[in-house]
Amino acid sequence: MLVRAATGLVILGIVAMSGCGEAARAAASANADEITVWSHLAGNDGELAVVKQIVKDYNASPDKKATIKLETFPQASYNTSVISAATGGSLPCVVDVDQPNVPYWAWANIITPFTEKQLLARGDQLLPSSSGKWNGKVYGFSNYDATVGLFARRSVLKKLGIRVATIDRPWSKSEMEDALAKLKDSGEWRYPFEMGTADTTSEWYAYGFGPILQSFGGDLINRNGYQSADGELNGKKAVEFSQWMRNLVQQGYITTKGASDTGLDFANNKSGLLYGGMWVWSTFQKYAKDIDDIVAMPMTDFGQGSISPGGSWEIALSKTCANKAAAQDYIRFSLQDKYMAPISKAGMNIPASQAAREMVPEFSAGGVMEIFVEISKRNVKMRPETPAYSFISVEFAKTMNDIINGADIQASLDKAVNHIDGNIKGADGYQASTDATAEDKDQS
Amino acid sequence: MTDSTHAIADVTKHDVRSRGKRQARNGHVGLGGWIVRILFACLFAFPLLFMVVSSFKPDDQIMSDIGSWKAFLPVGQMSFYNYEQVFERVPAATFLMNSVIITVVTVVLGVIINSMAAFAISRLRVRGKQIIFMFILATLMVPFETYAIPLLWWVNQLPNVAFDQFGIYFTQGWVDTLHVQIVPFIANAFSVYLYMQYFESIPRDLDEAARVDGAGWFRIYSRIVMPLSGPATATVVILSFLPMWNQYVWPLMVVQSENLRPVMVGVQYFKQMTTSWGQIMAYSSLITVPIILVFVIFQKQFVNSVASSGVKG
Repeated sequence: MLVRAATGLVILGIVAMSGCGEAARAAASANADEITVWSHLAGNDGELAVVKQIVKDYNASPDKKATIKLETFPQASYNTSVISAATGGSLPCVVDVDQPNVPYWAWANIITPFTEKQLLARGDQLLPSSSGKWNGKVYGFSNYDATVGLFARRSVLKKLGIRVATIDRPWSKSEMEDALAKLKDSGEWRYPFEMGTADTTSEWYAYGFGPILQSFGGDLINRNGYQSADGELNGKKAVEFSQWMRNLVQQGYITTKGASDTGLDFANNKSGLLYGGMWVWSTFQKYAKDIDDIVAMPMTDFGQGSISPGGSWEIALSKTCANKAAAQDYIRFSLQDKYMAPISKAGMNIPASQAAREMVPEFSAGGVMEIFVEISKRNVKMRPETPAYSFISVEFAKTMNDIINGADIQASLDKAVNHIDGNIKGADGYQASTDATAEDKDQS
Repeated sequence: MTDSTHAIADVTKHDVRSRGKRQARNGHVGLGGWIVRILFACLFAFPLLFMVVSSFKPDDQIMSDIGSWKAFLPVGQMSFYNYEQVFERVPAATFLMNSVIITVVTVVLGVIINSMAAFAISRLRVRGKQIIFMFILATLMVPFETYAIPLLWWVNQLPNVAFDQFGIYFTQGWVDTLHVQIVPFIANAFSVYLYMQYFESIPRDLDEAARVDGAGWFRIYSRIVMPLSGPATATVVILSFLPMWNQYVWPLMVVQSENLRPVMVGVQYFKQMTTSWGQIMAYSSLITVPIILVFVIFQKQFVNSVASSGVKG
C-alpha cells in the first residue's frame, strides 16, 4: 500500500513538474529565437576557428535576428549526418553543402533557394564558381573556391629542358607527353607522374579527370537538359581520353595503385609531376623542404583549352528552417571580406571576393597562389549541375578505373552511359517537384 | 537449495571449465611450432607496435622512419606532443566516456536480456518455442544497413523523456541521445544463440533438483545456470563489446551533438587536407587500449569458451 502511494506521488510530481515547465519552456523558446548552424569543419582547426569567430561576432551583434548555435561534424561523414537528419526530420536551419551536391539536395528538398535581396547581391560580388545553383536558382554561397593544377619542381623541369606552363600558355598534349617521357627517362622515379588514380572512393575521378575529358571534347553528361550521357561519355572524344589515360599506365608514367596521400609523396620527391587539388600546397608547406622550388601550373590543353573544376563547400538554407529571414541574415554576415580572408588562408583556398584576395598575400598580385585565381577565373568549368551528379561521379570513377586496368574502352563507356541514363529515367529526369517549385515561387 | 544440488552444480562447473584446460595440456608444441607462433605473433603485433611507437614521434620523423626498422622502435624525438594535440583538437575524453557508457550498458543489459531469452527457449515448456528461436536466428541474416533507415524512422517516432531547467518534459524522437545508441543493440540474436547452445550442455538434472528444493525458474536461472555459464558470458561480452565499441554508421545517423559522439566518429576529425599521422596514431592508440584491456581481462574465459565449444563440436 505504501509502495503504491509513493509511486502515485512520484508520477503526480512528474506530471506536475512537466506541466509547470511547459509554459516556462514555451515562453523561453519564444524569446530565444535560436537557429542552429551545421558545419563540416570538425577537426579542421584553422577554418573552424574563423567560423566560431563569425558565430561569436554575430551573437554579439546588436542587429542580430537570432542567436546562432553551432554544431560541427567531421567532413568525411558530414553528408551521412545531413541525409539522416533529413530522413528523420531533424535538419537545422543552416547547413554546409559541397557544391556538386547542391542540385541533389535541392531536388530532395533538403535545401531551399536564397531569397533575401542583399544576400543575393553579395553573391554577385563573388567568384561565379563560389555559388551553388540549380534550375536557375541560387542555393549556396561559399567564402572560397578551390581548383586543381599541375605541380613540379623548377629545378627538375630546367634540368630536363621542360618549360614551365603558364596560364596563357599551358602545355599542349604533345608537350605533356614529351615532358612525361623525359621524366620517365631520367630514371629518378619508377612512376614519374602522380594523378591520384588510387582514390576511387571519393569524388576525385569526376572532379579531377572530368575536366581532362572535357578538354578532349567529351563530357560526363549532355548539359543540354541533363537527361543523357550518350554521345558525351561514350563518343569519339571520350574514347580518345580513355585511351590516353590507359596509355599513361601502359607507358609506365603512372601506376593504378598510386599514393594515398599524393601531396605528401610529391613533397617527399616520390613523384616528379603531380596533378592534384590546390590544397596540397598546405602539405607542401608542412613537409616539403624545397617548397620555393615547387611551381604550380594549369592543366594541359588537350584540344578544347585548359579546363579545371570549380566549386567548394558552401553555406545553404534548409527547407525546414522556421526562421529563413534570420538564417539568411546570418549567412550574409558570414560572407564578409574580413572572414573570407582568414578562412580561405587557413585552407589555402581562393578567397571568393577581390577585396578578400587582396588581404591574403598568397592570392594577391605576385603571390605564390595567384595562378589559381587566374585558373578559377578563366579555366573553370563547373561540374554538371544536376541531381544525377553523385551517381555519375561514382559510375565514372568505376568505369575509368576499369579502363586503366585494362577493360574494353568502348564497352565500358557504353555500359556507364546505360547506367547513368537509367538512373536519370528512374528518377523521372530529376525534375523539381511541383510543391517545391510553388513554394520557391511563394518565397520570391 | 540442498547440499546435493550445490554438489551437482560444483561438479558440473568443474567439468565445463576443465574441458579447455585438458585440451591445452594434450597439445604438444615443438620448436617449429613455437617459431611459427612467434612469427605469427610478430605479424599481428607489428601494426600495433608501429601505431603506439609512431604516436610518440613527430610527423616528419614518422615519414622518414617508414621503410626501416626504426618505424617499430622508440627512437628519435619521442614526446607526448601528439597526445596533447589530440586532446586539444577533439573532445577525446568525452568521446571515450560516451563509448564506455554506451558499450558497458549495452553489454551488461545484453548479457541479462539475451541470457534470459535463451534460458526461456532452452528450459521453459512453451508451445512454438522452436519457431520463436528460428525467428530470432533469422534476424542474423539481415545486415544492419538494410534496416538502418527503418530503424531511424522508428526511433524518431518513440516518445522521449527529457530534462531542462524547467523540469521534466516529453518529446518525440530519440535522436541525439545516448540511449538511442544503446537500446536498439541490447537484444542480439547471436548472443541468444550462444547462450542457448551453452545452456543445452548444462544437465537438466540440476533444474529438477532445484525445483524439488522449491526454487522457481528465476532462481534456477540466476543461481544455477548463469554461474555455470562463465565462458559463454565471456564470449558474449567480447563479441558484443567489439561491435559496440566500433559503432560508426549508426552514431553518424542519430547523433548531432558533439558531446554525445562515440570514439570511432572522432577518427574522422583527423582526416583533413593535411593529415597529421602522429595525431592519428595517438588517437588510435587511445581508443585501442580499452579493447586490449577487455580482452586481457576476459582472455582466460574466452579461450576456455572457445576450447569447450571445440570439444562439444
